[in-house]
Amino acid sequence: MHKSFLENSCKLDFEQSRTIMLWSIALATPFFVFFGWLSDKIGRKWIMMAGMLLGIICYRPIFSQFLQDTNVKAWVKDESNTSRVLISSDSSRQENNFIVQNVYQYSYNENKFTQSTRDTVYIEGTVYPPLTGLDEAGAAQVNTVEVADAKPLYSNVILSSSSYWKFVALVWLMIIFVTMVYGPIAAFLVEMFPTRIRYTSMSLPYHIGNGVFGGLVPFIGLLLTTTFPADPLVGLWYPIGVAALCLVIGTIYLRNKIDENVND
Amino acid sequence: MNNIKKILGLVWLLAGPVLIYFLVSGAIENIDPAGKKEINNPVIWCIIILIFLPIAIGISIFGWYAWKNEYDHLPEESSDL
Repeated sequence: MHKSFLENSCKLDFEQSRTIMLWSIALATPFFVFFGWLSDKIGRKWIMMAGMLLGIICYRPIFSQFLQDTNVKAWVKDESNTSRVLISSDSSRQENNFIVQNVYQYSYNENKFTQSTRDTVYIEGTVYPPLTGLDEAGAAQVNTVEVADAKPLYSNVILSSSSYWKFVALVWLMIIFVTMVYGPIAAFLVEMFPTRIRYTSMSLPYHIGNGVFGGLVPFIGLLLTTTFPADPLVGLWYPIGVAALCLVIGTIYLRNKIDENVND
Repeated sequence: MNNIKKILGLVWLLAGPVLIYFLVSGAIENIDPAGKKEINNPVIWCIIILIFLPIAIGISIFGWYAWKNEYDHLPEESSDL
């Protein structure tokens, strides 16, 4: 979710987006072990509930910060970026803050031309290379392509060093919320169900639940975005809603006690 | 706390049918053979409704048990189950 949001909605540079994810995952992964260990000491339930609560509270502000810092709207409007941006579309709609128009234009100046190896356009199944060629006077050509539908393969919003590490920290924080829930959960579920019903009551629904609720995030997110196009972060309400449901049910209907005997 | 569990049971009981209602009405509204978006594809909607149907039934059953005070005493060990 984070990766596709950074690349598709924030138009972040491919390499920066991927290294942000790598740093965040590498730095957050040890916390699976930490929160598992902590849950042995103080009980599992409240660590998991705290992770869900923090996710519910922080998801929208964090994603909002991503949009604000990459500032895609201003970036698209900046003339110096025109060689990197596919400006497109029907002026009546906006997608993820990206202005979509019907005319697609790549304009190159000499400097940009020599550095624009990543400027690739995907139009109706065809990948177009960067527009190339110099005119007889040696100046870069300005070419215009008109198509019905198109999207950029990727864009190159480049973050400053401070913003880059801020993004790493924010993604790291979101993964920490995940570790708070997933670190203790396996032991928590094993302790909750005796062996004779552990597979049917826990393992099967757990894996179906993970697949269903996780796998449907893109579609439900798209559904919400289509239904409420004014809010670019409206798709977040689905994972927030599922987490809120789990928080309420977990808080009220589950106990914190650890059942020491897991072999019965 | 037991009263909260019981009253929330009604919420879970109703959440199942409400969820299915919104999914079906969303499908009717968005399925469009002429549309090119993923959201216009009837196959995806059928899959999603089929997946969520047992989940919705499950949450309604959970609500029913909560309403019947089945969760007033939470098990402390396996023999309580």
